[in-house]
Amino acid sequence: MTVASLALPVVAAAMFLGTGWLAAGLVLSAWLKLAAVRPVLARHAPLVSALPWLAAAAVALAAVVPGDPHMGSMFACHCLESMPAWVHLCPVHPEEAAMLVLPALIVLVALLPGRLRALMDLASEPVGHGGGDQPRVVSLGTPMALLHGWLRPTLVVDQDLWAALSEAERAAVLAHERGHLRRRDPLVRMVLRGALMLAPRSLARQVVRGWLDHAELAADAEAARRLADPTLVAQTLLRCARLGARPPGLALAWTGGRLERRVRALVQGQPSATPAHPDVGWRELGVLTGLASLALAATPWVHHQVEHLLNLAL
Amino acid sequence: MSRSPVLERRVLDALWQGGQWSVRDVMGAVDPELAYTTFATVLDRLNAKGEVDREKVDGSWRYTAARSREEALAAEVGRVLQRAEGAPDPLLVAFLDQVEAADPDGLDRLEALIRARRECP
Repeated sequence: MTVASLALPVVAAAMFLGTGWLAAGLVLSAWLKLAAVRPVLARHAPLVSALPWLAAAAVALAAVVPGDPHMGSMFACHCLESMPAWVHLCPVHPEEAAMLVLPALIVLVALLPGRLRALMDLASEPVGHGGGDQPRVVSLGTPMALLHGWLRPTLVVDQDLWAALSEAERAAVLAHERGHLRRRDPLVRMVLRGALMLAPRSLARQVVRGWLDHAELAADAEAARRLADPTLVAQTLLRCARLGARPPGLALAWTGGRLERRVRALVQGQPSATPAHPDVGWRELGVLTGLASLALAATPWVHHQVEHLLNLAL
Repeated sequence: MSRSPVLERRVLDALWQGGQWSVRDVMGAVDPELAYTTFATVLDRLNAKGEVDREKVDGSWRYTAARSREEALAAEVGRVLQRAEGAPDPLLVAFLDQVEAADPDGLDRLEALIRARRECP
């Protein structure tokens, strides 16, 4: 195996990570601004976060799939005759891609460790102990209720918090957490974090934070619908705040989200008539499949454009 | 998937029922289709993590859960919370929320809002 033949995979990997990182930076920055104006958009965070993967895949694929389909053969050289001085990425002339190995390595060194860290964080997420919507009352040392685990979530409530709450307040806490379960929020949160692996870390955290706020509001709304009493849910939130319940970072928890915003939404809004549903469903998967097909169909065009950009840059 | 955390959790689910378990007992309770060596490896790893204790009885290992499900759950949640708070960005957000939640005037104001809604639905 020659250095030249190794060049293309290295260049393709760098293009994947570089394009994903850049696309995530652009798409998510713009989307966060939009979501700040229209908070309802926060529910589309998983879908939007997946878009940079499509851009990255299209560009990386363009590096290994020849650009001109009119040449007949997949591995025919499509561009040497017309553009002999170009840097080409096709598998038929990897020595050209070798020119890009150094910048590609720089991109990989800059981006790969952060992505690997994100992957390890994701892999270390607990799967949960199961147990459905029945609470497990344990000593957490801090008054909180939360869903633990992404695959088999467990509804965990601190025993001191549990003891301090009335029956009605316990029902409100449970209805909220069951709202998360109904929306499959633990799993969607994991999908979202996976989709954000390519993104700059600070942006990723903002997107997760924004989606969690939306998820808490949606779980509150579901609890209000189930109990037919939004003020009970709001009152229980305040009760927990007075007991010293604190929000646990980026987890799905009764006390997460912005307290004032949640109480106002409950008090000023009308209980929803329809049950909550997950933020990722067939519609989102359909949109992604459509966009992926478009990206695949556009590969030859992207190939040419990538080579254009490379030759402008070099 | 056979050595995934999911399988570890299923093995622990079995051990949390109580008593001493051989590898074959665990295999029978969790998934008899999987290989014996898979369960031996999982139990070995759980032992190394301190999640299960083992002792030799009649020449073969017998396993027990090192702590109850509730203790394990509380420890696991504690670790997750600690990790979440160790991260700079979420801590900042959590701190703002915490200040908001701890502000008695703010809570009184929200309480009044709820009372008003109850009085005039």
